[in-house]
Amino acid sequence: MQLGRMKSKTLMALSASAVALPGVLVSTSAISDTPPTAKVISYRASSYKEDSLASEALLAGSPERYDIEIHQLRYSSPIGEKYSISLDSSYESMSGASPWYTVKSANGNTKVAMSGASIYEKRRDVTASVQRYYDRGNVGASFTISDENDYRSNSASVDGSFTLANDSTTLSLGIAHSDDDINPTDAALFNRIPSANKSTTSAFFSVTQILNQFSIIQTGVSSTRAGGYLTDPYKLSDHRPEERNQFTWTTSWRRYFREQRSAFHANYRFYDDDFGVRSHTIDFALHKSFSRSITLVPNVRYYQQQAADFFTPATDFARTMEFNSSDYRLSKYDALSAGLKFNVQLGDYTLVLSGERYRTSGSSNPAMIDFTRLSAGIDYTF
Amino acid sequence: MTLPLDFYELDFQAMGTACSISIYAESSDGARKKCEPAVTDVARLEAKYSRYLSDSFLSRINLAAEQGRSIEVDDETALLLDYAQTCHAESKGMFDITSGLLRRAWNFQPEGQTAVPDAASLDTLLERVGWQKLDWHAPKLAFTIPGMELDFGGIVKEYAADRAATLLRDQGVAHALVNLGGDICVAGPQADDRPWRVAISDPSSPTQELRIVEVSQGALASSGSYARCIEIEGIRYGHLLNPLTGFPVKGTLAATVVADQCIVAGSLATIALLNEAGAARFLKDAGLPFLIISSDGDIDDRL
Repeated sequence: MQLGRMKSKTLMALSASAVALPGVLVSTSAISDTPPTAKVISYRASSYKEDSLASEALLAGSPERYDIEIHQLRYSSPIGEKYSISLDSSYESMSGASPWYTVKSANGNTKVAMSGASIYEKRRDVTASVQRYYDRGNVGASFTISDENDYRSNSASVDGSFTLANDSTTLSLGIAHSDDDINPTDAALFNRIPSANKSTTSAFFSVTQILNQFSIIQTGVSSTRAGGYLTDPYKLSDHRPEERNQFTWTTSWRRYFREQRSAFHANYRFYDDDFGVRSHTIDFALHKSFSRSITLVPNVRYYQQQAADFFTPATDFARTMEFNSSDYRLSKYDALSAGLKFNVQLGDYTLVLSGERYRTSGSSNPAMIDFTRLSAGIDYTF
Repeated sequence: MTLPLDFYELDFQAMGTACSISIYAESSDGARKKCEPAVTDVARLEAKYSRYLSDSFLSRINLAAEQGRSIEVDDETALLLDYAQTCHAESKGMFDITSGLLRRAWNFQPEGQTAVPDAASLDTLLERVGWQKLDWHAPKLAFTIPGMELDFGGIVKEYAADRAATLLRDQGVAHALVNLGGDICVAGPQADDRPWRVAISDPSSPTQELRIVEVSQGALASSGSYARCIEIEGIRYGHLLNPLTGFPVKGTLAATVVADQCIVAGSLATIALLNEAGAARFLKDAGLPFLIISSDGDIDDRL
């Protein structure tokens, strides 16, 4: 006898309404491998806007930084009783200027030269995935193509998860690989590399443990090895190693509060790589349901990073070191972000609104970004 | 040191039916102590939602219903009304907590009546039946017409079983079974991790067991129209009434459903019977294990 391998819309509606009642549990076997039972079409429109560069930090070029408009469309559907598929596509249009190089000015401050003209770029990507469900687990595979005028990436991944006989421990693992072709624009004009390749392979393993009916803990490690041209072709005198090995360890804890109809999520992530970058991230989110159909999710995240070994605040034109980069993303910095997400369900439709504000501090690079992201979307389940 | 666990059974009477909690505990006293919050909660829900107790909250709601007034309800009642609304929507109007009024036209006592009710008397009752005639905006429940009546049958006993199992878990119990008159919810398997064995009785001879179902998680509930029925001019009428016609439903005698929650199992079993000949189709679509017995005795066993 098996419990609900395929959940109908009726059953989902009744279960959702039932578990809102105090003392009615979601499931006594909290991990169940049920394929999605309804088709879902989702659309999201997001605006990502970086703050302008402070005028005192600007050496040349435009202070206007990236504005990105993102449109995402997703379709997912069960296929028979044991499979599901999903298709994701996104379209991004990007405009603004990006940091080109940095110099130390006469008074010792670092100033940034931005790329002269405003860049206008488009990126499209599409991902197709398929998932097969078993009584105690699932396996999945996906393939992604991402295309920009100067960058093309193909990637594939397989993953799986398995729940042990105790019904409370789930093991997950996966591998992914991507091959990227880089063809910088105006290569001859700016003495950029005309074309280059890079490839990335990663693997992860995680364990999820149900501690009791109210809390779940998950911990996992992942390892990534990138090889090839890892330098930013659009920055002047940027030279990075041709290999990067990255390691992450993540732990997350979720606690459900029945009477308050809320769930608290806490996550920690440790990151370390052989560029010398090491970071810690902690974030907290509270999922609070106000009625059957309204959920509010405030969250806050703190990020702290130490600089890469070869980071130089001012661009090293003389190339005194074999490797050097003034890329602000490789500098030491802290970042704090706070966001709010609002979900409202109206029949078969779910409306999602979210906003996030991200601020950095502590960097020796004035090109460090602050940004605001706003997103609105709708899901239709049928 | 943990003591070995022994099996205890606590029997009690509540919600008009025989109830029991089967539990593995270290001692008889320990078992009783661990069961206490669950038993108290069943009694609490009976006192709050019984339509036979004049001081129950349901009776206060029904006073407002009788007078066509509105009433403000507490959170728990609001969520039960939300649940009833979901059942009404998902059953396309067949599961209706306002349909209890129709019982006034039928007497299901043995030899209770010899003729079916006339259309005129059913019509006057049907005018006051229908969830859509309520104006439900939590926490305010407004009765737009006087003379209606609510009844949480098919919801509250199952909800009580779910809560009782949760309250046992809250006491640290990992091996118990709650049985409220056939509405069953377990808090873990038996002490040796074997599933509980639940007997489903044969509607034609209720002391006879038809089938044993093994349950180690979740819940099981049954709905049947065989327990109380009358025969009029050779036709058997069960006590479950169609809120659209006012007549007892036909076609299916009993349904048993296994689900994660007893309240879901119970309402799906009831909606299945209300679907008459479409009971099996409905439960197949719902995607849960079930067993149904049709009125001509055919058994569709998908447990």
